[in-house]
Amino acid sequence: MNKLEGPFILVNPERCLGCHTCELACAAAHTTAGNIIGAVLAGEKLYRRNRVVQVDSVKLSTQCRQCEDAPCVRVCPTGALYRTETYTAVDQRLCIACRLCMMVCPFGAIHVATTEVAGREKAAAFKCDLCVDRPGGPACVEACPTKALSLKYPTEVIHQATQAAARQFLDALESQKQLASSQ
Amino acid sequence: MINLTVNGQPVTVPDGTTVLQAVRAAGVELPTLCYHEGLAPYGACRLCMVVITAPRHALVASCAYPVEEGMVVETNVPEAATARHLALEFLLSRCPQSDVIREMAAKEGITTSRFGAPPPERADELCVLCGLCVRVCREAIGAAAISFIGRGMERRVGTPFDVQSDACIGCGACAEICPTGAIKMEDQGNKRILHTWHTTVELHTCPQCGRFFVPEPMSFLKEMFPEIEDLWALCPECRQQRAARQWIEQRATSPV
Repeated sequence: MNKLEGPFILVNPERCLGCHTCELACAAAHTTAGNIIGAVLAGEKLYRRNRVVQVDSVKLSTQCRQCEDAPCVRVCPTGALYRTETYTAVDQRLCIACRLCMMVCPFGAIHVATTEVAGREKAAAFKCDLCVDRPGGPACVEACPTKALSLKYPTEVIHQATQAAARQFLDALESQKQLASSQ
Repeated sequence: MINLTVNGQPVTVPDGTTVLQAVRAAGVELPTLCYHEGLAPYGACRLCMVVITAPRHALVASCAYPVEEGMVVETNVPEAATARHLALEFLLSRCPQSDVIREMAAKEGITTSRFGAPPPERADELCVLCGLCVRVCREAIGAAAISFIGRGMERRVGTPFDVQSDACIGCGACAEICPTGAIKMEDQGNKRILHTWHTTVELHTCPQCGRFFVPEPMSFLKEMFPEIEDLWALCPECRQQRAARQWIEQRATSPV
């Protein structure tokens, strides 16, 4: 499987309860301690990169879509937002908090807040980085109690869809024996 | 990679690194006001002065000095400390009301300045003329709405003729980057007021929730990014809502 094509976090709204566990997991995973109690004891601020929204009666979490030709990366004047082969992320040390990335993100996935960067208080942009430095993968996916969140690779999704289509075709053939034998 | 020594401790940093970056990589603290990693070095505040004893002896502003192979950097020798303390005393004399400056000075053991207090009309001065706001506006944003005005004692930052700036895009990066909080900016209804620049920028109203969000002068982004044209004035929360709705509808029509 080609893992070079960047993965993204997919949400299944039918499974999402709107419990906000993913938000907590996200905020905790990006602290030095890596957990909420440790962060609170250290006086560290907690910021989530994802957000649970409600659309009519359905709840689901939203986060960065990891655009390949990302507008935020293109607009960033200092190169703080960058794209690797598989994900986009922000280097908060370079961020000047001009909010241009917020203005151009079609998914509202970036916000600016005051935080401590390299020992100094400053305003900087926050966005989902797929927890690239976390051995267990994205914290939100791991924490979701109903497995509504999953890390998907586009090639994997396409592969599954093709498999499903092929199976459907075989099933149709099976149900219409005379059609198969007439070939 | 370049090998150098900071306070007797060996450090290896990539080529093109500044002495300040190498010093911080070695875990040594140096105060700075005019330094920002996202902008070009400027060397205005003179707080990061260090002494280099090899390959030549020099007292340098570490933020603007590139590393060299075999360089020996000393941050705590009296020559360097005296230079930093002098800069701090000047700053303390200019901005005695600034908590940032007072704290920075206290850390280096400086609580009073030999150069007296500012004249009464400038008693509450917070600007240290570090130039970060001017540089971020020109270098990063490209608007160049503010610049240094005047010389010597009269030097300060402002818009041309101290009137409403047509070049300001209302991003607020100047206020965010200011190390001493000298730039006053506030959002009042659909107006973003940059008090220090005598400039008011209109904010678009989010058509869904009515919050004020996008500054009007940023409309040029719409032409640069055609993909956001129909959601331009939406605030981030409403954009999330919109994206979520689209996803639900898409799933209903073509389930993956």
